[in-house]
Amino acid sequence: MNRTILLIDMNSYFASVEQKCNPVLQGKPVVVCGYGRTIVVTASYEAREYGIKTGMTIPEAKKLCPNVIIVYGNIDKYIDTTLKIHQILLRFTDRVEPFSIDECFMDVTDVEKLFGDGLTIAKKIKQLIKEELGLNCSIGIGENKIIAKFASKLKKPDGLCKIEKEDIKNIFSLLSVRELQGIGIGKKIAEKLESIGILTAQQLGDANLDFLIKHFGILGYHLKKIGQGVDDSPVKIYDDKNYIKSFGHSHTLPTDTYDLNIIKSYILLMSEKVGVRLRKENMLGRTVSLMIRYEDFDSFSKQYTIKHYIRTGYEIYKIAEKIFNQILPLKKAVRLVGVSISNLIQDNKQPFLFNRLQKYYQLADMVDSINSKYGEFTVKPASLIIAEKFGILERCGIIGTSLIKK
Amino acid sequence: MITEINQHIKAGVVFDNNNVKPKWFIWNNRKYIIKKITYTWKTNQGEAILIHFSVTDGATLFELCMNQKNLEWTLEKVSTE
Repeated sequence: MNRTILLIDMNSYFASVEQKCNPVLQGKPVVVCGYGRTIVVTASYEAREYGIKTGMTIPEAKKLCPNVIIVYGNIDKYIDTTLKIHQILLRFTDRVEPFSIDECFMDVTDVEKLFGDGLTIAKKIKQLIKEELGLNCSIGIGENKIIAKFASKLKKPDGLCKIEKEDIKNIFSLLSVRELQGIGIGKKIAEKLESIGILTAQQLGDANLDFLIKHFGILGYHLKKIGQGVDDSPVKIYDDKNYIKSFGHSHTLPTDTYDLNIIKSYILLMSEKVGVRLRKENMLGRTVSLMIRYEDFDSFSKQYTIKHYIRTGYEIYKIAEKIFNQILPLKKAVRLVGVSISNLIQDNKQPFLFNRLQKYYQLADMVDSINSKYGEFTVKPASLIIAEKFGILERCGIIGTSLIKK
Repeated sequence: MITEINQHIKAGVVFDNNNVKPKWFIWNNRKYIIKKITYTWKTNQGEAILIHFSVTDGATLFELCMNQKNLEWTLEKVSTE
């Protein structure tokens, strides 16, 4: 059966929210960046006309547009707005799957009889988001997620584009593999495909499977399907937790540092935040990943899987610390610290054999109970004070999609 | 330019159809009449829900915050051109 999948993509999201908050910014070149830091997180469309892009430094942006207005981001504002957008989408169907803070898939196949075809529903969604939140979005429509996502990129801002099944082959014959970036193919994969002579989406779809597997391993199956515009993955139901694969938090330090006490304090802070979310979702994990970004934006990332499942910040920290010790002594100052946990299962609250562990986990639950009543980190490990004194930027963390659902 | 203030204020509020709309506030002995609420959003602080308002008196943009638990109002930020 043919599906109708929508991808809703908010245009220049953070900058648009700030322009809505402060009407004086409307129509002006605006960039949103982290407090005290100098990387452009989002640029308004007016700023983009000057060539300003995400990832650029503020000095670079100012060279291109001396009048650019810099706004420090407020992630709480954007999360709340995202949740409001989800509530609008849920008026049509419960098959709403957040893809990122500013993108969402919808499967409207089963509700077309109620609300009209995909185009009608998409127009209504655009109208509601504009009326209720004052924001623009681009919507792509296709028979699967890959096509819908690709369609959403074709007309920006405030676009609406549907790609029919019969047009997929023609369109993909003209697409370069670089244009598939963001639709299941990253920059490095696109570069590697070009290096082995696969330049277009059609060539990717027609490529010999054994050849792709030889160069990309098991990813080769997935890449071939992308090249053919084939994607059978369903759009999950909004409250479905089954797809949560990991929880992670990262934080950009107020200034780059070599100080190990400070860096370890931040690793503990991130580990504690991950532990809180893990327990909130009633889950356990056993693969801990640590990411360190240096002052020159070079990164180190490694993961470690243990034999048993864990759920507390301290347990996560001990593994992250073990990974961190492997890169000592530091050759460059550290700019960002990130910790995540994956390999997740539901916590069925099985009693422990050893009383000490049982009490330790009960303590974590009690701390959660106090902090949920009085505020995050009302009760916290003492060594977090080191990070607090160094400086916690207004909001810390990468937001996993599980956090941007009510 | 944005200046962090974070001071308690007195606010005059209208409750309208499950919505809270600040109409004026007093800060440093001066009364500010709110001409427009440009944006609202919510955050949590423990059990307390905080409602944030971006408002303007026509000249200056203010960020106000109402703590739903204790009904306290705070002027969080002031933005001037």
